[in-house]
Amino acid sequence: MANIITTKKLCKTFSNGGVQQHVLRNIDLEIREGDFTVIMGASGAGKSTLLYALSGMDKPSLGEILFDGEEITKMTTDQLALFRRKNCGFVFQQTYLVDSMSIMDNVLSAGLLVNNDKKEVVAKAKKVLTSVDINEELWNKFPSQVSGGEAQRAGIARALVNTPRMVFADEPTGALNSKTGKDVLDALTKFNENGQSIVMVTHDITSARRGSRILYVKDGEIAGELNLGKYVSGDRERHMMLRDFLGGMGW
Amino acid sequence: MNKILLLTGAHWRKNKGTSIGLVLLMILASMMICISLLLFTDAYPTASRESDRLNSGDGCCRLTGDIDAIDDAFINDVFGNDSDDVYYYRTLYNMGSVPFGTGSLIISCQFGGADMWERPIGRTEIVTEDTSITSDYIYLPYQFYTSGGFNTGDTFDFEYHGTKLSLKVRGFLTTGYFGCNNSGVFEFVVDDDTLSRLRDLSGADATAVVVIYDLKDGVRPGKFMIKASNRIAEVNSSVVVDGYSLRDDAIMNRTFMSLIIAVSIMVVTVVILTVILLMLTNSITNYTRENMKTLGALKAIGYTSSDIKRSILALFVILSVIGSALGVAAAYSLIPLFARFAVGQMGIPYTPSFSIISVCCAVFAVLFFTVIVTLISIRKIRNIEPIVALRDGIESHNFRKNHFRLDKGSRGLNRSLALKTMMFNKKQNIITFFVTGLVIFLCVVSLLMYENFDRDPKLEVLTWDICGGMLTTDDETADEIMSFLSDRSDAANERSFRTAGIYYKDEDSLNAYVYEDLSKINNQHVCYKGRMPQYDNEIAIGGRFAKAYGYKVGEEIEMNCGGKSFSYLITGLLQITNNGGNIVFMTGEASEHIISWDGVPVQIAFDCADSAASDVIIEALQSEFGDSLYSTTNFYEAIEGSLVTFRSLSKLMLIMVCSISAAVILLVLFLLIKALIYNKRRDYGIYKALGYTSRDLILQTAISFMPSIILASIVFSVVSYFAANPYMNIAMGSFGIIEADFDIPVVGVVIIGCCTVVLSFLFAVFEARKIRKIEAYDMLVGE
Amino acid sequence: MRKYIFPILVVVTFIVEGALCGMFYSKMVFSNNDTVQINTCLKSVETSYGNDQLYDKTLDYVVLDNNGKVVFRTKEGLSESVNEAVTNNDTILDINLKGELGKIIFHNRTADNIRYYRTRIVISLVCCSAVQMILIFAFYIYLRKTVTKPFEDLNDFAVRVAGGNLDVPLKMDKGNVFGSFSEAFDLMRTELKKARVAEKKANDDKKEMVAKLSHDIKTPVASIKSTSEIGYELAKDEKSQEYFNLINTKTDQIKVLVDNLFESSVNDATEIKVSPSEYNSTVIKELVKKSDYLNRAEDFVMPSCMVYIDKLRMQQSLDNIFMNSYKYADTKITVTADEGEDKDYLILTIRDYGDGVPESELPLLKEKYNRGSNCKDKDGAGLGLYLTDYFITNMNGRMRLENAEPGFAVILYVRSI
Repeated sequence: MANIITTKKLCKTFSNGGVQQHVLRNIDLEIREGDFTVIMGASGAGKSTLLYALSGMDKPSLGEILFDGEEITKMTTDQLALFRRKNCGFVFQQTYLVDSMSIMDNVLSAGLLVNNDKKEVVAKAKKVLTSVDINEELWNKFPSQVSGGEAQRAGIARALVNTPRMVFADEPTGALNSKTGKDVLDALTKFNENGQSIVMVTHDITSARRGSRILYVKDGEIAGELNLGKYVSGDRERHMMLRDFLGGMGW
Repeated sequence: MNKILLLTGAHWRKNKGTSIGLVLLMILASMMICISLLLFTDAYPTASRESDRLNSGDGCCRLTGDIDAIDDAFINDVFGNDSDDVYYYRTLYNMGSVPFGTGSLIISCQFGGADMWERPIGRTEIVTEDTSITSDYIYLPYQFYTSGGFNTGDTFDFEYHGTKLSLKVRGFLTTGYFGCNNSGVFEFVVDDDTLSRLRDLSGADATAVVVIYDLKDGVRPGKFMIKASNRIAEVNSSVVVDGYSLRDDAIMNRTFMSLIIAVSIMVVTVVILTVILLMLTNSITNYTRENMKTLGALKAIGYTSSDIKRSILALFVILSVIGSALGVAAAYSLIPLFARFAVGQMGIPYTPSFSIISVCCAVFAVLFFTVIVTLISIRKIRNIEPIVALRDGIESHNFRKNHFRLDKGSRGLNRSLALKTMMFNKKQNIITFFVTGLVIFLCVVSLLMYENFDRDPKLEVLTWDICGGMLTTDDETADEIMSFLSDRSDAANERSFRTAGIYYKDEDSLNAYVYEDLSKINNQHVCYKGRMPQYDNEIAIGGRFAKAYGYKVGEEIEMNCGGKSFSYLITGLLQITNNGGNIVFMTGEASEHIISWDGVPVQIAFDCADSAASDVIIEALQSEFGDSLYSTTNFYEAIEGSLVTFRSLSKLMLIMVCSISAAVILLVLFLLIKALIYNKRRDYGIYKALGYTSRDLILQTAISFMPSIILASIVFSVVSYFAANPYMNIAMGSFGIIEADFDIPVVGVVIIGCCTVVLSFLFAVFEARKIRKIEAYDMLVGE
Repeated sequence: MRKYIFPILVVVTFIVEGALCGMFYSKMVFSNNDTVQINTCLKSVETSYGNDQLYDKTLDYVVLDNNGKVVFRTKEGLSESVNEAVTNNDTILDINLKGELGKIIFHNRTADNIRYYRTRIVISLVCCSAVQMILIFAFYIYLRKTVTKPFEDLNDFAVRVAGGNLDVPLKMDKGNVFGSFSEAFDLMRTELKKARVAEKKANDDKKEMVAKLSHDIKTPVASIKSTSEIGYELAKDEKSQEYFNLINTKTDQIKVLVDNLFESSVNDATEIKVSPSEYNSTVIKELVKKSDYLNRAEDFVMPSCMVYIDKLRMQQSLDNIFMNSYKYADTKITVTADEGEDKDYLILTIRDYGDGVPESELPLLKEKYNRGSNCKDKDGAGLGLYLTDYFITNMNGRMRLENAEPGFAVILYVRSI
């Protein structure tokens, strides 16, 4: 499979009152197309930072990121925005749906970015919403009026409405209980099976099990990686492999 | 475009409260602009429009005295050469007291019959009439309807040459020269029977000839009047000439009050506009801060800064269009109220016309300001990195300091946390400071208007000198009266003066007010530059006149009268609007160089406690000197009539300014506190979870709000106290209205300052009460 | 905004200076007599001539009568004749002194004016320069803070890194003068530090492995030696004896080599890392069993408690103790374990029934390369008990050695929790 994202010596430094903290250190990484890549690590290890750097949301301090051969580190903020609307979909832990827009409008707000034909976009949005099990009666409700799981699935629909090259998910189940979390993961898995590339950050082993490739981030570096292959429900061996891998990483 | 409208809708839903608040502010702003402009462009020029409509020519003059010999040939000889058109007529003339409002006016009155309607130039027209009244009727100038409190069918009681008359008001008339008390002459039209009765009562010498003329192009009315007077004096020296020019006298005197109203409203408008601008900036800046996360998420999914900017701009443009449209509508619904005073006192029927300029200006000004302010405020959106926004504003490299540390210092916890909030809201606080300050300034200005136009009217604005009573007598008795007055304990500061017409070269005529001692004039402010004349070669001239001919204090000016001329040293400039500003002051000694006072009556003015005292003194004078007195005036009574307009105007101003100030304060506080609570809601959640009570938090919010308000109150109370006067004077002065030293009661300013602080605090506490209803948990998850 | 403050202030002072210049330029017209004031003075003299008190003395003037005699002067030093007045550019006016024509000479104030304006100009100039100086100074401080200071900090940092101090981080400078250089440089420091730690660890590991290996090799070599000695004794023919002897000598050779190896690697043995953590005391029992590979020890009761040990190092310690016992006593071994009175330690006593050591040598046994007098014929490096003591101490424990009459006892105080 082709590499869709390649990083070269990616570094990200934060500082507070001048004291530097190197959250990402010289990361060389390749993300492959069609993979469900899961980034794991202890909290504070830099996994979210890595995700946001990969997606062009955050500017790395040093190093470069090639997205499909195109260097995104040198783009201006506006270029990045245009790049993201075409290539990236985002699912956040707190959904970040615009709370003064209905579910449908939220999805449309992303869809209309790429396609100005409202009819087409509405049709696409309906399709995507249905595919994440959001029924018609929820379409015109506001995010505050639906459950957390439904809102998160709407978030996924928003991320996917433009069929981006890559979906970035930052702890999509972090704020959900295990049942609704499973629905969300199922939705993501389903899209991955249909060929959607996904990068997901999580510190939850249940979520991580869905991934076809696990990257473990420790002290700002990729400490190890595990290739699991496509997710099969109830695969005990897969679970043990993941557990051993994480154990070895000091999870 | 779809996407932007979608976002705009979302912005609106999210910020309904703020948006409505802003729309209200915009309504206020555009309403104020529109009213100001309408007053300036529509109401104020009504007088000249009406004069043009009535074909009023360029001037008129009233000839009294030996006028029997005046005929067409005489008129043609004097006026014909320079005029396109001349018309003259005879009328009954009387200087007397007429009822007006709650008092009475001492004023020149002209009485004419039905032939008045026939004048080809300087027309007089009926505004309203009740044709069912057929006898003993009178038509009053329209001003009696608008400000004088008369209606058709009312009885009009007045004194005519010592006889009390009572006539029915049949209707009201409008005329170019004689329709306003400020012009000094009223024209009345009565039925023929009454007219002949009046003629019988007054005798022959009460007749006057009124000449109305329309000058040829290029002939200056002032110069023409001098020429005409000289010519009349040559032909018949016993004819007395009183001239009025249309622009300099009739219209200026008529519109003077309107100008004061318009300027006052403009003064208030400017302050309000500034406040509204600041609030707009504040609200829009807040908007971006409040919605940082949403904006960040939008940017994350691929919205560019300009997409977001356009959506916000669209919202505010729509709001400002709605706001300004409503504001213009409000202005048009309110303008009759203002017109009642502004135009009413001119005595001209007025219906506001649709003024494209005013409407466009109001709408565009609001739109323009909104767009500019929005563009400036949302500039920052470009700098919002989506990731930073999602991280709640934490940047990759931050150098934020921890002000007011809790572990240090001896402050109470509530106060420390309040100060922390304050530091966090630095920018917000600066805006709060200026908004509060401007609101205080606004209040002080309205206090100034109330104090000086209503409670203790600044009569200087109306006349050059204020006194208790005035009398006219002959040369011989003047000294006796002076000593009589100086012996009386209830009269004070008696001063005598005479008036005469003098000329500046052959260019212009001036009224000379000749006082024995000019330092006795109560209103020394009348001389706004330099000092009053003291010696026999000194003179003070009207500021407007000085400007017109380019004279400065310290220069010499040559005046002449009756063939004599003298060069005077200009020691001061006067702010007097009488006679179009063509006024000079000098001492008796100085006047003797050019004026001979033989047989010219002396006027004596004196001060006394009140109207009653004035009556007592006048009565005493009359019993003592009887026949020698030509006329007596109780100044308090005389001014009452003039004050009617003034008082009602200032009441309106006060009510308007106060209600607008209150509305602005309320709106401003609403927006500020709303933003404050919104910005801090997460902190509240955390504090609540930590165990702070609602009371603590409410107090904290209110306190965090106070330092800038208190500071603003103190600073701006002081600033306003010193700045309100110059501000008013600059505004008034630049429109040629008198500069006056307006009183500002210190107590009032202190009260305004304290009230603002207390009210803001109470209102802050009131608004912050909302905190009580919200649970800690809700606040924490309320993202 | 902050970066514009300085230019704005400079521009403001510039405008103020310009305004001042303009003011001086327009105001400094010295001939501009105040005609009104002159008239006031003149008239006041005319009207109240003879009564000096009533004269207006706002201006300086001299009144001369018809004959040119001074009748009044406001002060000394003014021109007192028409001639003087003309010289001095004074203003001379006629004055009516009660019917008599006199002259009034108004003092030319140009000199005063110049003095007045000179002071004004100097004061304004000084003020402006002071303001500018303050501004420049403030800007200097600002520059120092934003540019010079970061450079100095960077210099300090570089010197420290060069000197090998990798612990002090490079602070991010507020103006970000160096761009991502600061970040990269600090990252380099941490990477260097990491590399250094890793290197040291690898070195230590290697040494420790050699030490362990050599120690481990010695045991089988000892067996081979003793076996070969037995073989030598039992050998029937000379040939075999020769072989055995060869084995024996070679074994000695190996022993010497291993000892050397051991010695060289243990030189830095103090660097051996001991990282204890919590275990159940039963672990110790297992360790004892593993060390006692000759099964000399009897079964013993282990009180159940939590102990704070490094499993690996504990094993090594026990290995050493048992090895010594095998070597020097070669008797049965008793192991007892009980909790101390205050339960701070698990007291593990390992005792044999051999000869023990002379009382005087007991304190020396723990020292490096020190061996008891009873071991002259035994091989060893004199490190066993030294290491054991080192390990146990680093596990927050204590080791005590004593003669048990008969036999020798090693008492380990293992930290319990």
